[in-house]
Amino acid sequence: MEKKKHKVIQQGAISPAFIADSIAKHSSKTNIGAHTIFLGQVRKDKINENEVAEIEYSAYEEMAEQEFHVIREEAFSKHELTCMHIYHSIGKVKAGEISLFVFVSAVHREQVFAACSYIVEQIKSRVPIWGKEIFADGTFIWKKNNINQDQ
Amino acid sequence: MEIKILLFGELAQIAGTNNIVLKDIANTNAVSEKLFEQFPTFKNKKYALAVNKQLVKESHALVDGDELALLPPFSGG
Repeated sequence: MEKKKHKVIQQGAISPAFIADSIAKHSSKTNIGAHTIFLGQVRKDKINENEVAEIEYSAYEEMAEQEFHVIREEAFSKHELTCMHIYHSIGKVKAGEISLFVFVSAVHREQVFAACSYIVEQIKSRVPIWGKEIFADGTFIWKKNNINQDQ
Repeated sequence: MEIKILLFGELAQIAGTNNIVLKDIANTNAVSEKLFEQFPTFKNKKYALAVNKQLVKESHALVDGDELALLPPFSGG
């Protein structure tokens, strides 16, 4: 089982090219039969006539990396996975850009759906990362996550 | 003894800083009292406490060099 550790937090948006490259890198792992990929995209929410232009993410980085590692280990122990990669943006990410990339691989598809969903819900509730939703006019509010209690 | 307090999210915004150094402070309850004096609006805010990157629930004793973080509700992802 591959469990290479890498830094999850990345400066700025996660590019589609990076995601495509990650997929390409897995083609040599010939025991993989299924991947599930989750992409969190910054949504242009409209709040009181104001539209979100970008989210600025900040984090308690050392504790966040620690928590990402724990979530990874939990997912590996609950599911038969071949590998897993998680990337989360820090700094400004514009509406329409990707701020979270979760990539889960296994021999068969049954394992990846549940694992990916678990990882995403855990990230949203347990990792010390904060988002400041910045509107077109420069004002902002602090993002509030909706947590799925079933995970 | 000296401890470092890290503020994040809305708390850092209210305080106008993301770190504060406090001296001779016994436990996390004492830290809360001191911070409420300096930033009264903290009293209305919900946040978790972590000492040296571990979440703590009740009042936790502090020693020299400890790092205490005040964590508003997370909004990553």
